[in-house]
Amino acid sequence: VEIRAAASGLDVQAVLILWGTGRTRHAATADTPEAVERLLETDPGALLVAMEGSELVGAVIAAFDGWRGNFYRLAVAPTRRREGIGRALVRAGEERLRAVGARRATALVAFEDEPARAFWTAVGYPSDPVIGRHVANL
Amino acid sequence: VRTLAALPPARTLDVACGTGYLTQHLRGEITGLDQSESMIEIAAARVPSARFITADALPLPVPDASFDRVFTGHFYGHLVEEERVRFLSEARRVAGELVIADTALQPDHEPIEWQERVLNDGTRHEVYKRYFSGEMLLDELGGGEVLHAGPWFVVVRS
Repeated sequence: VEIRAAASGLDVQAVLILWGTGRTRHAATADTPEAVERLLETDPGALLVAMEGSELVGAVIAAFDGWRGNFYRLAVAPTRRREGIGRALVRAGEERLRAVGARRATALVAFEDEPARAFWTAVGYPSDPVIGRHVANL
Repeated sequence: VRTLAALPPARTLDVACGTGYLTQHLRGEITGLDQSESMIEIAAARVPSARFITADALPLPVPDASFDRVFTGHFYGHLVEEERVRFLSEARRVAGELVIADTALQPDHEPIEWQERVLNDGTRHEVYKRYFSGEMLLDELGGGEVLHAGPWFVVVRS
């Protein structure tokens, strides 16, 4: 499995299908080709894909907003879980974030999403007991 | 195969692409999906320029209007009525154009059959299978054009 930055077009189409197969009900924003293409324009390299040849087996957003790093939409194909692909995506995301200057990274995880909480804790992202999110829709 | 290769290049979703036998002849930006991981592995090796992903076809895990064309080869004819109707509405949601390749009506087959198939592992499966004329397909799709009607295969666009 090779991890690389997603390209516009074909990679984006495949990533949207991957997210469509495993979307958490806690996801709040719509997954559209336009939204993902805009991400690639504003933060090239933020979307990472795990590929086995031309087969997409995983993806994650490791975004840098100029201040901090943020992980979103980590997904591994249902048939390819428990192989370390998710962990490898996080490590590749960290490498990418460090390279662009981020020194701290956050993953958004629903409080009641136990498998996701367990995963992020296991890869070194314990839940923050001090700071939470205040959010609004724009 | 010639009919498929003659289609104008388009952002195409190949539903139930199997081993990619037909996928390799499609032109444009091609994304193939199949519910079988082992099929996808073969297809991904066969067509390096496309993208493949293991996923179910019903519902299509794909955003609205994110493709130009949905293509499906030798899949539509295996869908029972309820799945067939659902697949058509899903295909319409995802792309403006639908191209279906399937098996032509044959003298020694009924238009609708339940066939028993024995797989390599020895297991037996009942398979629902329909045979088509171009006109039958267009009727079901509510119009379009027959791109190919030979003794073995029919291809229609709608």
